[in-house]
Amino acid sequence: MVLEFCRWLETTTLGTVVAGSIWTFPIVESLHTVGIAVFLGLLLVWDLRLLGVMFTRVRVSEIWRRLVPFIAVAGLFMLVTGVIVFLARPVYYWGQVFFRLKLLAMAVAMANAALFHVGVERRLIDWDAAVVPPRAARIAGGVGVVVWALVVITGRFSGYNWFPSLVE
Amino acid sequence: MLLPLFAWLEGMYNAMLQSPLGVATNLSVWLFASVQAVHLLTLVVVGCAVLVVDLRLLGLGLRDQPVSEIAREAQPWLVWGLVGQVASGIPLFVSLAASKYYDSPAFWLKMYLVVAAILFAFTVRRLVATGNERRASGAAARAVGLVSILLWSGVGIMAKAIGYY
Repeated sequence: MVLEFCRWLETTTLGTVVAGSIWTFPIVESLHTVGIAVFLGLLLVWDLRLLGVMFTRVRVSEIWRRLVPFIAVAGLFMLVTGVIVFLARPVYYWGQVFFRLKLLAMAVAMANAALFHVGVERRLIDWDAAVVPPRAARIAGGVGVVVWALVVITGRFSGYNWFPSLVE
Repeated sequence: MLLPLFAWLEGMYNAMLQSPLGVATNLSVWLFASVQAVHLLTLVVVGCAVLVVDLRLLGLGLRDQPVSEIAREAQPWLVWGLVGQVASGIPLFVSLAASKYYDSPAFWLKMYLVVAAILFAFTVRRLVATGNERRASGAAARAVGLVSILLWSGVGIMAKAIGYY
């Protein structure tokens, strides 16, 4: 079903424009790569604060409030540029084992953020100024660092067709 | 002028790959991609250390904190991130030094920008960011933050451009 969808995507106007243009793919791929430094660089500041490693004398809520606008915009930028790169070769990417692992890693990152939000974040007022946040927050920060690193690695590996396509 | 050096480096790399255990060419692709991944991961560390200071110089981001405090906290991450970038960049460079990078205008432009960005980070930007707070919050400080962001963006864009030019 996903394969059918990917095949259909390749026939849409957007898909053919991205795949057919000499310039679109390199430019958007470059933006997607440079965007890693902005999106994950600032997200790393956040995760390191949760781990009690960086900016330990700054309140957790202050780090979040001041950085979240940039993280959100950069994240949206990564999503849009990522979708465009995907549209150039949907069937190829869907057939790549590392691309599927990347999707899985991103799902874990989202679940990790959601768990933090409904869990230890509810008591943030109690540990906002803590140099070393509670264990649950440190786990969220550590999982964030590891899982986003896996997203970068599997993303890079998706560009190499080492394995036969899973769908063709 | 540097071509013999580049050719020698690439030859050394290929000899190194083939000598122990007679590694198959397939492994060199894995190796290359893995080092690329490390290069991207250390890029994230540099991005973290650079942006948190540059945003503050622009009057954005962690603006309730003194610039000098942010710069002090970010400095070791910048240094170690750059060490990781150079350490992972060297094997990527030598693997294709003569056959690809020597003739790539994007590669040379990236190198010039890297040198400029590093020099800027450890001289002008460091002086402004660690000086008194008044100097670190005026129009000059904003210009320094902007120049820094532009230099590092240029490095990143040229890095991707190497694949095409």
